[in-house]
Amino acid sequence: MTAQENKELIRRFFNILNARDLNRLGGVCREDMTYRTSAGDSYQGLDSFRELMNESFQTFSDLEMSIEEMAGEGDKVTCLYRWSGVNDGGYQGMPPTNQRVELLVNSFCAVEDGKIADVFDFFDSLGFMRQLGVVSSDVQPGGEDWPRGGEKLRLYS
Amino acid sequence: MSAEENKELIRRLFDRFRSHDTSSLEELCHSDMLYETPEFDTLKGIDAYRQVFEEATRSIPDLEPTLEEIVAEGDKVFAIHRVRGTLKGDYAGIPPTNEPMELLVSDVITIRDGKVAEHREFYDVLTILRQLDAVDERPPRAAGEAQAPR
Repeated sequence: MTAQENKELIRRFFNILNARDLNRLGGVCREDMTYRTSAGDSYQGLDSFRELMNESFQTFSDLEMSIEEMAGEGDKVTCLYRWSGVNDGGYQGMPPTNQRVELLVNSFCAVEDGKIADVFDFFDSLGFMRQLGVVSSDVQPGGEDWPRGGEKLRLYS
Repeated sequence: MSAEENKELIRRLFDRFRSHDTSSLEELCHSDMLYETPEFDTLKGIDAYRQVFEEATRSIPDLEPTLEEIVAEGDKVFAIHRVRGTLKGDYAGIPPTNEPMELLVSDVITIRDGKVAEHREFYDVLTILRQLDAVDERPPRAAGEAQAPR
């Protein structure tokens, strides 16, 4: 497939996700696809990825992912996309915060035999938690709640 | 400039950072370039770009960035680079561990007239904090959990 066709594939992938039409993912993703994040999370298989997306839609019902920039070369497509949603659903026993989280994610996709084989998303999970409201907005370098001098930032796993 | 030329430019840029030589970055970057990171939002100017790197080498004196992936199209270069080194100096007030650290960073770089006009970095700051041993991820004690006997 050409770089243009691969970029089209990624656009279809985003359209399917935004339409919450997860049953159609098999048309654009390999069954053995992998999804990874820069926070070190790793999901093996399309079923696992579908589960993750379902969870995300339950936690952020108006979640929308929109591509802002894109580049394709050979069997690689990279895109910068905006992830935006309001936390109106509970997650793993934590009540919703009703805060909007909006951030840019830099995504690297590998295409194999015309389908997505691997997606690697880069984003700042600390920034995500600040916006979500599970850590204070002052948890940044120079901020009041930055864990300086041997302190520890308290997170609940 | 072609995609290949843009990729070459970025490889040369990373070579400079690998050798910790930021003295002649003007050869590769515009003096009014923009630099964005999760910690600092958008910084303007090549001096700020240089300064952030110098700060990083104060925290990690043996800092070694290595390009791992590079995709270019039009005026954009997307890359992934791995930063390795030893946390010997403090990081924004957080004491060093003197242990090795590693971070994967992704880059979105805009080229204009043969030089870097914008460099945006995307990475997980929490991964840095974890390696600095500055995060407590133990779940809270459940309500009603038995207290230890006195």
